[in-house]
Amino acid sequence: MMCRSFAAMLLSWFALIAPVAGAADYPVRPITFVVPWGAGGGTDSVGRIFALLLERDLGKPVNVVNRTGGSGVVGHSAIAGARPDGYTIGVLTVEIAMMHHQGLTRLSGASFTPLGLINFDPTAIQVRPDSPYAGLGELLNAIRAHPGKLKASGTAQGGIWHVSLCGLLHEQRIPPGAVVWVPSNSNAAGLLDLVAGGVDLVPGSHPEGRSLIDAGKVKSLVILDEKPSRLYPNVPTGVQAIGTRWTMGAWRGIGAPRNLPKAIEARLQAAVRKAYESKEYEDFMHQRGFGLRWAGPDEFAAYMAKADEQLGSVMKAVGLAK
Amino acid sequence: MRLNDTLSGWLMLILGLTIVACALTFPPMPGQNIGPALFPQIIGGGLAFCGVALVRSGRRAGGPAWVEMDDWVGRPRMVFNFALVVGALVFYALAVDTLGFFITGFVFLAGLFFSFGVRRRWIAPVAAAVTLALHFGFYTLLRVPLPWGWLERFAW
Amino acid sequence: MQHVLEAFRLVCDPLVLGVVLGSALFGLFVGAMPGLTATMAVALLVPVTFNLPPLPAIAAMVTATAMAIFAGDIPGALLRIPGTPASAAYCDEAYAMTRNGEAETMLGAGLVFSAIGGLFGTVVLVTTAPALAEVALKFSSFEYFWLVTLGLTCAVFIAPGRPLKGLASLLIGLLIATVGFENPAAYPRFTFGSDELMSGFQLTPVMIGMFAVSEVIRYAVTRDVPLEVPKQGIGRIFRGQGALLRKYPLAALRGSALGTVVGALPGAGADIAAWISYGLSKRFSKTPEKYGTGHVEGVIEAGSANNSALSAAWIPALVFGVPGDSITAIVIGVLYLKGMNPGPTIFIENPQNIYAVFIIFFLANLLMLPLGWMAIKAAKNVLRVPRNVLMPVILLFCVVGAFAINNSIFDVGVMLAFGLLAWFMEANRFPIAPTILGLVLGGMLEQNFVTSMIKADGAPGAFFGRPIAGTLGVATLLVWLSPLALRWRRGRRAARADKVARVS
Repeated sequence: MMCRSFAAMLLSWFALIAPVAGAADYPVRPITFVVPWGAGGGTDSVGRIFALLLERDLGKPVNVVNRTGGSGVVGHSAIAGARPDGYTIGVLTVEIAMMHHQGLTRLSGASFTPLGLINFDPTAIQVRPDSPYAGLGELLNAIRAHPGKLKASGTAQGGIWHVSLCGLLHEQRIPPGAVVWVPSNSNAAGLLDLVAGGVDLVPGSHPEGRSLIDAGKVKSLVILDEKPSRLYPNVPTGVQAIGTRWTMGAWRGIGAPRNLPKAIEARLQAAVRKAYESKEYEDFMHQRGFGLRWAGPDEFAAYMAKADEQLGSVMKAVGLAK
Repeated sequence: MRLNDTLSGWLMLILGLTIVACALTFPPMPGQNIGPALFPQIIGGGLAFCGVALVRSGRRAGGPAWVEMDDWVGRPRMVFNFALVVGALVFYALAVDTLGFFITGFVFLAGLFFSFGVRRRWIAPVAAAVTLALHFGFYTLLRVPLPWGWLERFAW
Repeated sequence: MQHVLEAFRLVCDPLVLGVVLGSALFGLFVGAMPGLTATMAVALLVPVTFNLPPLPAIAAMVTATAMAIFAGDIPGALLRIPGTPASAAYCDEAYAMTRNGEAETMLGAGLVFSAIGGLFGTVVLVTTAPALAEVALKFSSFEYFWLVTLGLTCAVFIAPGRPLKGLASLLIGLLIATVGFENPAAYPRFTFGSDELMSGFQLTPVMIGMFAVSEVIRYAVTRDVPLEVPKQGIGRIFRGQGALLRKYPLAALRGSALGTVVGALPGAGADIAAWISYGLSKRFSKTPEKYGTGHVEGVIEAGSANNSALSAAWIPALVFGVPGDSITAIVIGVLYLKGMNPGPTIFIENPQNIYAVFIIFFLANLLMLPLGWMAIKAAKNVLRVPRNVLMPVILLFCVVGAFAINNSIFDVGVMLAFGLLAWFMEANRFPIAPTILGLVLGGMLEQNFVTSMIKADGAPGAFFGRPIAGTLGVATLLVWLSPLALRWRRGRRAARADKVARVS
């Protein structure tokens, strides 16, 4: 009896004094910030600093939530499927342009409201310091001469670094199967296998290889980008090594579910831009060695569409796509 | 509920064979000499083996009945309790996004307290206090986004 | 020496000491909450560390994780909910002790031997970090394969009752581990088209379901059978711990040493250390028959192992910037942010900073004793709560804990399903610990086997082709074969005795 009257009292009380919150005073409560990868990884750390900066601007807590699994499928679906009220946003990673080619999801970059591209890390190729290959040209020649002998690792089967390596080989007219891919759970795990002598090369980004490169356990052979990397300016670019402008890499952006109310979309766009341009973000990215790259909402949408097409054509060419 | 070893053996054998059959449909992965089917097949085979061994030992031991119900099954009150625990969890999973954590948690606790025979006048205050405390610990301190549901406009 | 003094001065800063105390309380809280792991404790601390100078930032993480791993034992012992996966290995043992009225001894042992393990790991970290890190880097998939196989072997030792049912339970765990998309071939298996199942079954909801929910169900259906936990005071938890240390010095040492080695490996952490050392503890114990009935020896060994693994995970992290577990993965990021770049030079460039971190390690593990005592004192009140109030509260805790790990209602369903499965299995005398072990190790087993076979171009001889892999492989085979050999010898001796008896 008491229980019922208590509940009834509560409900009537709520009904009476409930204020109506609209888009004008957004945000009025905490925002959930979905990171589609686990705590401890690169996406997680970029996501956490970005959430902190957004929180400072928006004035309400921005809570990081790791929704992991299925190479990002679960987290990206959580963002795309959330109510478009501005209270669920999250990090979009390069996998969103890859997973649907593999038939793992229907989502693509077009399933989101893009808010801004905040990071890009191009592919670099790492080998052991005592490896016989002085440059990318020699490595490619060795692959050409002995197809199936060299082994590479650094991500799961069909992950970005796998596709990236295949894309490079394809562009150089080497059959992608000429390097055997050893799947690994993370780039760090692949690098450890490289150090332990299990594989011969590991494509990946410079920040991921940084600690082992600094420790002298791993050598970076080439960075496949137009300009040298900020962390290791002495590592030759693709053009310097073999004259190729071919590039591919991992990127991260901020996105929200589709059909966001215009006022909220504008508020979030401004907040994302402000966070990106803040000194803290720049310092953080430089400290960690992550690459800065900005694209506003429209350019980000175009960027995702282009990446989607490029990745898709490589994946189809090498048989990774359905 | 206790199953006769022979019966659990048969169930396990069926499960193992089903898994092996499912795994046969997994395609090989080009570039990998061991496909995704091998491990499920080994596990399914292992389960089938355990099943056969259980059937044999169950036969040898002999058993009175295929299925032996625990004595609580005869008592409606206990059957109700069992259904209640399962039902409470199902209720929580279905309702929490709509009703929000406060209402769902309160109803969840109050219902279980009531049928476990907690004194009536304690039910509402304890349920409310525990719900609030859990919300404070997980939502406020640990930033777990417990849903607000109907109470969204009061969210803090 | 001058650096050490300087380091002490750095640590004695009021801000540092304040942060250590605050994060210790935070770590105890997170560890005792089901569903929130020590990794989560660190992830939640990250935004706080942005505003702190380097040393307090690191100190916060060191202290919080050490406390969290210990605190995971408390709900495991009192409520059969392992607070963190690292406590799952001996959760049943601890709960059995509480039901025997020995909660005091259990929690005291958990606390004291956690501290001992943590200190042991720290000593190794301080003294031999560079050398041990070099060895750890020699581990590739071949070595990990044997390590995982050795871990799985433990299932046979830890399972009470018939080995056949233990094996079946292990296979069920391995089967659960195959679900999802995260396998070497990246092929979605047994997902039935569900997005949520793509990531497979997460350990935490399964664990909470199998241990805690099954216990609540059991309570619900036997409610009129008085299930009395003996009246027990938890006051003097340190009483008798000295005697335990004198009685089981070998267990504490073996647990700490094994934990340190496993923790230092980049591919294995505190959970696996606890499982393997609990299994080995039973294997080498003089009284293996007591395991599972509330026997403290395994708790001592595994409890020290998980804390020493935690300290040792910092070895590859500091020396090569290679994470020893998911906790140090976050820590490495913070180290970079604070300009203390990990690598061999960290010992040369800022020696006073790194010594200060070592001092924090000792401090945290010593502080664990008084703070852990307070936490136990506070938690013991749980046993005074009438069970008809306690059980629904536990159930709601489980629900929120299962939700918290991935913020998904799906995991609440997973928890319920596995709660029912475990309840059914236990009613039919299938042990559940091997299932959890299978789930913990299944993915690693397949990953390391498949990648090894790719690397070896399909030649199985490679599993013995490297020095460490060969040694581990032979050791594993010996552990497997020794019970068979023993039984065979015993059988022959019995046959001979039989023959002698017949002749005479």
